[in-house]
Amino acid sequence: MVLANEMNDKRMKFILNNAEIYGVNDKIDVIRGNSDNFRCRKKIDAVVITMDYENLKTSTESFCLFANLVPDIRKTLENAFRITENVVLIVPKFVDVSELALLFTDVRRQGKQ
Amino acid sequence: MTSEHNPANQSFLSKLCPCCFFPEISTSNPTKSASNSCKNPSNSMKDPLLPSNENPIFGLKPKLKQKTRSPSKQKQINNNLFKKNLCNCEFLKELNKNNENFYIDNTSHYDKFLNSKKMNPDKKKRLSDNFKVLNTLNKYPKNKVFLLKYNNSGILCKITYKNFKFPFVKKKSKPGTKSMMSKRNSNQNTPESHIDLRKQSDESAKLVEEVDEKLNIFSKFHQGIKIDTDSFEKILPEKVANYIAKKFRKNSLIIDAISGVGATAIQVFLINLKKIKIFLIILALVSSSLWKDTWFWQMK
Repeated sequence: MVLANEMNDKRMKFILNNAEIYGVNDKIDVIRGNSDNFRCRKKIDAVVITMDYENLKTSTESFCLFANLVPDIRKTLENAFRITENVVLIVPKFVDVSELALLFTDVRRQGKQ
Repeated sequence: MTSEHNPANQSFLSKLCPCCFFPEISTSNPTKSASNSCKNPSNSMKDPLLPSNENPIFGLKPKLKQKTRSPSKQKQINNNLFKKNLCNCEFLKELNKNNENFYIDNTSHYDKFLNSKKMNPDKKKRLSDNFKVLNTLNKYPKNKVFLLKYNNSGILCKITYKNFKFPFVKKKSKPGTKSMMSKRNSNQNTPESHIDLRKQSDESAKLVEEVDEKLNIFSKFHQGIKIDTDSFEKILPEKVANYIAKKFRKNSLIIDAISGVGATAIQVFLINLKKIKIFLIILALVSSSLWKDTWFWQMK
């Protein structure tokens, strides 16, 4: 079972339309919610996060995880780690790896506290 | 009657040596200090086999002067401590038996961002422009588990290279081919009718390319799939979504936090999910124009 979380109404219709073409319409539920506050009563195994990035093509030389990604990556990750430990985060290729270390250590510390 | 008021007890206590609490031996010179007056065999006769006060395990620790260390030395000490603690971990021992240097020091030039949580987004953008993010992936080892360190805490990492074969790939034009020749000719002075024809051909070629690129995202694109114009470059391609979906267990409940058009959500269910438990996966995706090379970072 997959729960698709989305804020935009137009895209919510597109999800259902695209799922019908692949024949998976029955097994995808669409939820309307913000990425910072999505929750579910059932036990969830994994969370997949694909971030929107601004000016991807132009900002190859100076890309920052904390500035260029929308919405705030830290809040979404914190929320995801509250629900499960299995998180899939998809980021652009030219992200500095040291930034990732900073992000995960920071989020983990706050989760423990 | 308490023991304090008893004169016999008081006299006895006064006779005890203040350093070792042995009964004091009477001396001829009463002006000597208490430490000098002590003539017990344990204090006066220092046996080399007996534990001395200098040894920190048996006796009292001698007071050391606080040394002022340089920041580079302090860093070295911290690194050694960090490494010692890690070496005790059995999980790491199994992973890297041959490689001793498996951890990597991390630069701390992103400290500004930790302190800038309440900063305006405009300011953040300005700061980010100053950081030059180079191709840092070459620094790190491939197909090996290593520890990415940041201020005495780190995360386990494994970088594996995965080249996804997409149905449509942009071909680079070689020198001397038709496309290069057409560009050269376009710079020369030519009649207007010819230019129009070339423009049309270029535009049509671009349109074909765009449609073919969408096939990378959805293989059934021509069957009526709807996509936003804004979200075209942000959608995860089908093959990459497939690869992620294979990692999940069977009948698992998954949330797609920012689903967009639902590319990943569909692919997750299409595949028969295998019994592999993951801790963390970070995928590095490239923009639609650079889909040839994709990096896959798997973190366990």
